Amino acid sequence: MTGSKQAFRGLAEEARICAGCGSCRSVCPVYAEIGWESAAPRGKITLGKKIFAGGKEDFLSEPYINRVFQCTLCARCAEVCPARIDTRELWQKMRQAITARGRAPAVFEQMAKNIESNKNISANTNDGRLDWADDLDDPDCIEALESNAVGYFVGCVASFYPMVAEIPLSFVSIMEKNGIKVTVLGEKEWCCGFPLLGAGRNGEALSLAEHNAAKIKELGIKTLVTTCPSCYHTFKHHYPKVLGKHLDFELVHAAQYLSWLIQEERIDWSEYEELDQVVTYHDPCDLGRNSGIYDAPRNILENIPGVTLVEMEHNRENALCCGGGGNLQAVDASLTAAIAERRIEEALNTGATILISACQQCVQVLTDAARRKKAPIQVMDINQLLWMGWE
Amino acid sequence: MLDQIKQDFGPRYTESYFERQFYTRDLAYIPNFLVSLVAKPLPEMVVRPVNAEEVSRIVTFASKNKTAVTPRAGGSTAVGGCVPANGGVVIDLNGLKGVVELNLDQEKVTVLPATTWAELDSYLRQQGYCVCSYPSSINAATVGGWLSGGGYGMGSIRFGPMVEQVSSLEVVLPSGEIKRLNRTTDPPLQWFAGSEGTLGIITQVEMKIRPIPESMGHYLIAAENSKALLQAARECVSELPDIIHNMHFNSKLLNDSLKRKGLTEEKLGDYHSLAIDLEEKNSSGLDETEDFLQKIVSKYGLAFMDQEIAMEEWETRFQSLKIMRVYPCLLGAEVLLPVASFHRYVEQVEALGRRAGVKMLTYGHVVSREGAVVMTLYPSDERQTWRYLCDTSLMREIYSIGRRLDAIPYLTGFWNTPYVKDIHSRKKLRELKRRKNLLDPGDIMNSGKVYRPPLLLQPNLYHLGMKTLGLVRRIWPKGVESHDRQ
Ligand SMILES: Cc1cc2nc3c(=O)[nH]c(=O)nc-3n(C[C@H](O)[C@H](O)[C@H](O)COP(=O)(O)OP(=O)(O)OC[C@H]3O[C@@H](n4cnc5c(N)ncnc54)[C@H](O)[C@@H]3O)c2cc1C
Repeated sequence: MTGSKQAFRGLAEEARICAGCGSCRSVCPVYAEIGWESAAPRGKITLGKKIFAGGKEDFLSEPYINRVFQCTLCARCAEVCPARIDTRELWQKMRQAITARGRAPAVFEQMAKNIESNKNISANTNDGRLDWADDLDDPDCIEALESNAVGYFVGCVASFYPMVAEIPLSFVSIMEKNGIKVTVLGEKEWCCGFPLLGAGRNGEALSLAEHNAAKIKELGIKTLVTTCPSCYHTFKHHYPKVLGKHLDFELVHAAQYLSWLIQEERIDWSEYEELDQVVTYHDPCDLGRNSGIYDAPRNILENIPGVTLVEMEHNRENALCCGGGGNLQAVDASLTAAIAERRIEEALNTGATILISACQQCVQVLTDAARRKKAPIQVMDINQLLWMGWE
Repeated sequence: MLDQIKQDFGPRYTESYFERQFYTRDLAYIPNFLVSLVAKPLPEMVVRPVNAEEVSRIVTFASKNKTAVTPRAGGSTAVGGCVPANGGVVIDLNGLKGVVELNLDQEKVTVLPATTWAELDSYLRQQGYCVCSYPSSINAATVGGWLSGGGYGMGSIRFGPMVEQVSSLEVVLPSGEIKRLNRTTDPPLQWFAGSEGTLGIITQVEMKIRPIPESMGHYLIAAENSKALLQAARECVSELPDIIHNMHFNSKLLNDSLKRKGLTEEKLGDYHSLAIDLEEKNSSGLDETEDFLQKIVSKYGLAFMDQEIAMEEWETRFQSLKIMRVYPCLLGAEVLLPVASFHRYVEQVEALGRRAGVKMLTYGHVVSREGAVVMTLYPSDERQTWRYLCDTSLMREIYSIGRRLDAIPYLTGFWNTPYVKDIHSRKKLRELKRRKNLLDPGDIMNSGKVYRPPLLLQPNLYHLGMKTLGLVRRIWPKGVESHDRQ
């Protein structure tokens, strides 16, 4: 296959490859909201070429830096680039170059401090990692490791933000209901490093990768499931690179795992109450476009009794971003909000009453957007929807 | 009045240098010092209207103040059409996007001008319909931009240039008046096709659409000899004009360059290739056509490439810029060429490349029974400014080859104004100027483009300058790595 993305040749070289055709412009969710050429991917590369390939540092102005960080890393630009530039990698490299010059937005300092001291992105200490589990019928069900247990990497957002605590609760409940043992790392789980990568602070993310990989190995976990696509993406694509070896375990996203359980007929539907719902599915960027997982979540939805799936105009590799990726919410929350509202509009156009995603960040920003718009649509994670029939 | 404009447009108006600098160029890279000798590409302001009334307001302002207006949409051409020649105001039209009305009974859609072809086609496909034709810059190019330019691309063999699919337009004239046009109004809509934004701003387009074809067939034919392949192309297009959706030629040199970087199939690297994509009402129709193609292939001593490779070519048909991965800096020239001359053009341009010690990489779409839009690219290096400038002299030589074969530059914009007398006959040019004077007596609308070159690009001066650069080039030490040269 020669049609796939090409090996990244470094910031300066890839910036030179960009002809500025603007295919990226019309699909960029940030450009769609801001509207100036400076916010379009090609605009950022045009100046980036001068700065990073041409050495013209005086072009590295505050407004430009702002534009570089006004990006969700959704990679729709990479999908359509006729020169096959891996633009997602390009944006990360630009952020690293800016961070190396000490010019990154100040907000990332606090985030990095939190991660350094708490090992998670919240302001809470890491011993609260399992607070969400108090709401399980049997909180102990995730404590005891058995040799055949599936490891569950919960992720910072699902662990610490009550708004999305239903996601790990649902996932673990589904597992328990179907007789599958799950174990977690508890406070030994550290941030996967994704937010630091998005902030261009790759060096600081290394120790997190080393720690998590070591603890997973120590626990003898053979299969690791994440409900967070960004954790999944970081483990899948970043860890092998920085650790210099393949993962010691099989990594799957919860959507893949559940889809596999359904296929293997290991889900017991006997007590399941039909849902009678029309739903639409929002592909999270780090699960869909950036990891190529489109069918698994759809397979789950098509198999849940009483659920009808209707697609939005932009789906699969063309799915619109929710606005919550790439640390955008930290640097420009109103931009995230505007992008999310656009996605809600599209979901409403399908006539669905539930908007499903497979990502806690998408669920969080889309829920906020739906509330603001008073949209007659409920937003939930795929685990929540599946659990509904047993609840 | 400017204060009123600022107030009305609010955050959609800018005078900030940071924002304006992004509007000083399109795909073409020309060193700043050279651009500033012939043009003022930095606009004084940029506005982003969201409807025809707002476009009209800003055009009225410009008209009263004799300020140049540059319409800009996708910004995906390389002739400087959407870049100011005389400063003034850039009207960034990208806020006018979306479908206004869909009439499935009449198979028509009314669309705002900055809707991209990909957006429109994606929308229509939800309803079982699709666009008739589109440029290969489908994600970047807008409906209004393509109509304002050549309007040839995929689907043109069957449906003609875009203007043939258009039934009415809404335009903002240089006076600021908003007018609905059809084929019989005064002025008629046809005046705006190919006018490159010099007569007014298109704010709505009503055009023909069609049901999604029921079946498609993709074929890739290869040959060592471009003459045989392009003669076969000619025969196919005259026999099958109603079912060919796309006919795309790649020269052997181009395929070979792509192959070296793993950007095309290994096998393809040794051949010129012709992709033929057919549409039929049903797949049994395709069988008959396949028989015809078989005959053509054996008649001209050609070979079919594997179906998998043909599919790959189809699926990556919008990725012509992948050649940038081989040569990150390319110069080029694009011509509208008689199909009958296509193979001679390829041969002569490649001979020029051999003399000049540079690879001439040619690809093109056959767009009608008679014509093909053909692009020739060659590597250079923008980091070596003078070497790069000397390399631009080869563009003139490509156009000269084209002219001898009855080809004309595909678009005029700003940078091809030295060729305006080649592009249009005297009579046609007189008529075009008459229209311009009639609609835009103050010459505000995309002024400095299309009709006449600026002083330093006057043909005599331009050709002399280019010849001199060509001479210097011959004695200049080789700039691009040796593997890029023949
Ligand atoms: C990879 C690639 C492939 C391409 N393939 C093709 C092809 O197959 N066929 C083809 O013809 N071209 C092709 N092009 C060139 C270009 O993309 C098209 O000509 C495109 O249609 C230009 O549209 P745009 O929206 O980018 O217009 P712009 O570049 O923004 O403008 C082009 C001209 O039209 C004027 N204009 C734009 N919008 C309006 C409007 N609403 N009203 C009045 N004037 C307006 C501008 O002032 C300018 O003069 C290709 C380019 C690339 C990079």
